Amino acid sequence: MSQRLAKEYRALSKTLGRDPEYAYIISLAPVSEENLRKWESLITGPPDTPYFGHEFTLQIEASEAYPLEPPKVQFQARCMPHCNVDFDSGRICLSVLDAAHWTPAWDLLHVVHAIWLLLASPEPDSPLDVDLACLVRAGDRSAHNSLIAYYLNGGSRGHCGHVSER
Amino acid sequence: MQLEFKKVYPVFSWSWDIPGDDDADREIGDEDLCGICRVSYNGTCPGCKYPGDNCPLVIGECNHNFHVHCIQQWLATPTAKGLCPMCRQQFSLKRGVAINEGQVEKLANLLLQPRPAALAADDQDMMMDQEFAVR
Repeated sequence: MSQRLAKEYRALSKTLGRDPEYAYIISLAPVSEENLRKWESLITGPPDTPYFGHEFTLQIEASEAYPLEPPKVQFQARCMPHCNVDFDSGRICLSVLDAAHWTPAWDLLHVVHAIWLLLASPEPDSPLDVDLACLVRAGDRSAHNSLIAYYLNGGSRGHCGHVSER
Repeated sequence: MQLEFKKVYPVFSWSWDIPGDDDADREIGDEDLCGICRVSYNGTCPGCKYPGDNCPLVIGECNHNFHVHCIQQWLATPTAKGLCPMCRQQFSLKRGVAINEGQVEKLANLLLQPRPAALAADDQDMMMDQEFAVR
């Protein structure tokens, strides 16, 4: 069903840059037009979060069975400190990416949007980052946000995706 | 001016008759799309070449429409759990609408055919077979 990915690509060229709801998406497109299964997206962090003002790359891969199966989506490794993201791999824990919750009525734009919303609402009950999840659970927003800001600005976990070199 | 007709090419257009769907003020290019493959109802699923009876549209009890091949493929996945992709209600064909007629039996036959072992062995899948029937 790669025709469906082609349709999404075409539809996105009309939506992105026009719909203010998706103004945070800098790009969402196939890495190469030769292979529509591999996409990449560059997004900016949501306002009122420590991610604001930073840019993040999402790596997207749609299987042969897409849209009957969810796409695989992850952040660039070692760039996203978030309670539902595995920092070292960039793997994301989010229900829409889980085959048990996925429906073919969703598309890549829905998925990117859901991930962007996740940045503003960490879900400490299914953590992939225990440190950050503990701070969310403890209700210590300021420690949580400062720790993220520390990592995003090059703290000891490694350098992060705030510098876009494109 | 005198015109002499040398040849006449009749052109016909058609569209699925979807009860309750008023497309009088719909413009070309603004047609409804199958929620699974995103192709027009009047087009074909990605696996078919010719629209129409070879790649029919079906209407669910929940009033969500799909190419029959698309919804079958979805319901055949173990993760579909027999649910409509749009509203997550149990998917079943709407009764008493002309467009679904002829699908009922075909669908039943298709669902009786053996599936690949991996799927056939799945209990959930067996359950779906029963749910994907006209109530």
